[in-house]
Amino acid sequence: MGILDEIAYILNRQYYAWKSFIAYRLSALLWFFNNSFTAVASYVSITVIYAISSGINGWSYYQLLMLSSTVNMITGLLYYFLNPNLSHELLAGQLDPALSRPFNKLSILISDNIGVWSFGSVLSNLLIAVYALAHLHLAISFIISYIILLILGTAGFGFFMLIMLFIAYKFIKSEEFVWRMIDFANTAGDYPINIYGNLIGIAIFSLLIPVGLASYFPALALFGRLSLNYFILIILVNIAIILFSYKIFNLLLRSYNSGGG
Amino acid sequence: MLNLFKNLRLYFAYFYIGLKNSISYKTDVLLILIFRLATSLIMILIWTAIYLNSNVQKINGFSLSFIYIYMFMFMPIVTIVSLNLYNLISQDIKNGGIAINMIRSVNYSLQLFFSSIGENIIYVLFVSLPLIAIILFFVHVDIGFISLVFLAIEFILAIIFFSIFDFLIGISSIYLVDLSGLSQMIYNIIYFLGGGIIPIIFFPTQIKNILMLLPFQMLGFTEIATMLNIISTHTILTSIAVTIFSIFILFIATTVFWRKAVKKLSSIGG
Repeated sequence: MGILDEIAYILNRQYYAWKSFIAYRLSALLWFFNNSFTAVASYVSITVIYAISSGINGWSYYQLLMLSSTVNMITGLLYYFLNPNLSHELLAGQLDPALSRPFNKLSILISDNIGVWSFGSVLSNLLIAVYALAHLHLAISFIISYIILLILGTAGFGFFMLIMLFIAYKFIKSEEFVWRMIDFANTAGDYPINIYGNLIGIAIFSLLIPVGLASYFPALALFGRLSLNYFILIILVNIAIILFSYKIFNLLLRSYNSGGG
Repeated sequence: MLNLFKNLRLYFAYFYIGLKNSISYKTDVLLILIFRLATSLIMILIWTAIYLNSNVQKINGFSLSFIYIYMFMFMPIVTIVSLNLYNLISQDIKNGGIAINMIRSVNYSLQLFFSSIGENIIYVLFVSLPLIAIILFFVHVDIGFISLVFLAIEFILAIIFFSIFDFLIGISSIYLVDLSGLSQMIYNIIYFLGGGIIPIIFFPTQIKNILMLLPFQMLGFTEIATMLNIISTHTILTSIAVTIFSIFILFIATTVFWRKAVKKLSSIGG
């Protein structure tokens, strides 16, 4: 199968996921409303913090709003593409019909159980990001750097979570901790990761749980605080994480036992 | 009530199954614990950065040491009062186990309640209670008899409220099929409204007053405020009254919803 077939397959799955989601209108509306609350919560939290204090050193209100909406958008996208029950389905051997399709296993897994409901979070946080951007007056080159790092960082973080779900399947037999980890990463990524320690904080949230590569560093690039050398370094680190994770993903996929044994 | 006592031995069996379930996933339990504690630590570091940057001893009359105590106590209290019943119901509905469990001679909601207490007891005994005791010991908090009575009432009401709330969310999976994302999001909303990210006292007066009229303040804020003696007896009594009223309303809503949901369930089962 060529790359165009893979894309067509993923888009096709999106189409049916959205159709079945919209078929239950009330349910769809509830999910959208519920997920939009992440944006409201972040907005209120940051507004209250800046109303009662001077906020975070070196970060203006709108900059922090931008960072927070970035990390919430990423989390929303993760829930969109990664099936929260993947470990459970792997354990129960329920992925046989999906994995027997003639497509790349990664394309299959990211479109097997699309979390359309989390799009509310992506959309509402995108609105907050646009609102913050409108107050920041940034150069277009900074915005492009931000988008490049955001895409690579999100891919890297997504791969990391996928591997965690496989590890949960293989060694722990339960996936709940993975979702706690995403929640934890989301809470930590809402604020600049250097406040958790200039060296330790950045190391933990870039290499151990790479949420910083998807949110903090793109935000630094957006505000023109990332030198060209660091910009290139972050791109290389992201590519290394993606390639390494893809290799590990293929290895872990071999450990999957189908329902038939 | 008589039935409850008569079947206590049976319900204890559900408690035991819950306990065994949580012990069988040791690594998962340990990792969840680590992430819960790490989240408290993250909140402390965020507030430290805010206080240091503001260069003030107190914000809204509260010092940084208060925030340390608040943030370290919040998660253990959430663990005690929130039993995550919805997970059990959702699983039961997905795998069809609900049909078998409902034809048993014991009350289904109580089966779930005791089972989830069994699953939660490890966290409570080995993390929440020791952590709360250590904090209270180090900060030399003197809790009077009246405050202890209030605390006991608050904990009992909070457990009842969040159990019914969880049950309501759980049975909604009959309609929504997959609850995994929704439940996580609802948890985040409650966590925010209950003061898990920003203590309720830091909100502007009008918002603070609204939040104090919601039962979610019982997730942790009211209990901590009672222990640290930072809210008046009048506020504590108002919080208790609000929670009792919410339990009443929620109980009626859940009963009505449950009866409708059971009909839908039987139509699926044939």
